[in-house]
Amino acid sequence: MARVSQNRNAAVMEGTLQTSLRFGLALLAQVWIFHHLVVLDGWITPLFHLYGLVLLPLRMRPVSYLLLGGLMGVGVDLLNLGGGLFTAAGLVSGGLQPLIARLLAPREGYEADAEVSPQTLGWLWWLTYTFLIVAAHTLWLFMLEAGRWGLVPQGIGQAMTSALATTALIVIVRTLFMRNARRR
Amino acid sequence: MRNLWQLLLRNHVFLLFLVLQVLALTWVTRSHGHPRGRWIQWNLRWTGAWNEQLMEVARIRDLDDANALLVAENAALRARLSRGDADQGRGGEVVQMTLTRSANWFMVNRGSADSVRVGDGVVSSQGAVGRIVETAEHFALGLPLVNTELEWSGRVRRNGVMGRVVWPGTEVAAGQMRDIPRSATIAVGDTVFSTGFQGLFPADVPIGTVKRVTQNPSDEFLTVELNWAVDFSTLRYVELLHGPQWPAFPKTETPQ
Repeated sequence: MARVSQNRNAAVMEGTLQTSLRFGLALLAQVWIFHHLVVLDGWITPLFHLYGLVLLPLRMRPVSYLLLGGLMGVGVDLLNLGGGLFTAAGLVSGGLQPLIARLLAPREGYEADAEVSPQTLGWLWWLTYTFLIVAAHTLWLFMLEAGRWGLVPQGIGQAMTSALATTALIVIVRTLFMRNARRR
Repeated sequence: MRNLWQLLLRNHVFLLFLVLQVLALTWVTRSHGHPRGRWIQWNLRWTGAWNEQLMEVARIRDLDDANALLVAENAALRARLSRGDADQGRGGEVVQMTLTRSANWFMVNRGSADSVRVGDGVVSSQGAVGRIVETAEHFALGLPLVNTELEWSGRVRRNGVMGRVVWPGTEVAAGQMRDIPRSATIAVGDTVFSTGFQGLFPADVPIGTVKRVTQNPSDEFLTVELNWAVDFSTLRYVELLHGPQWPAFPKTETPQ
């Protein structure tokens, strides 16, 4: 009994460590690399830091998603001179993340240790979940960034194309990591 | 009272979201136009160094273009030397620039240690670039012409007609000149230069070329669309200007 509890604690510790590491690396990758890879006059703006948010465990408390979304945004804002835009957008996607998860939940609910991946929840679920979170983030980001009503339609267009590009980026990186994990 | 408390507890995540969102939006509105705050000094110091490393890669990639630009710049500097007005500039390199926001900014690898000051004008060999708004020891933050929050003073070289030059925020390569009366004769291809009124640039620094002229049915002004003289997407080497107040009202071209 004690050994089962010990194993569970070790698994929780490992999961937390992995999530924290992914969170930090996604932030640094965005700030140092992907921030410089904006193309087509901003119509393709990769927001790779969302990788660290999309892959957060499914069974966390809603307030944790909100705070982590805000924290990630503060990090990007401070390091990339975002002026609060990423914090506001991170709070929106973090606030919506548990609602999106609930909206897409299977009839019998998620398993206790369900991992956010196409392997456990299927490709359609994973793509929809990722795209909705990313789209919520980009929509708020680009609409705030537009700063005036006349630029909002263009902002919505840029938000959608950037959401598609970011989702594709997250899927590619996740698939690469899955392959490496399988090889190991 | 108890019911109210329960209601608050039940919706605590939403309430926390509202409070944090208001704080974030306050940050956004306070820094719109350009990033402000103490952390900018820290950011310029640390990310500036990293951006300079990244530029090493870009430098090798763009060596041919940079060489052509430097040749053109040398020619322009030689011409300025011959006019005797080339003693107030310092060269620098743009190590980071945003072009996808409405409030764009750029970072230059020259700072207070190189006598760069807030308010210095920034030009390239092609024309006016922007102005410096923050400085750290070795890096400075500037706002380019492509920033919807700023206005610049411009003059059509052919006939001396003046107006406000702004960036409408839609296309990086295109600006607008406003407040031009309908009676003014502006033609496609006319060149627009700085007036020198703002004290940022000397007079006669190229700003852009007229691309299209439209009459606003609602008022008595023309809207003049410009192609910027500077290609911001490839901007690399710049000159930072400060010094005495630049003389305004230079010569106008005599019509052919």
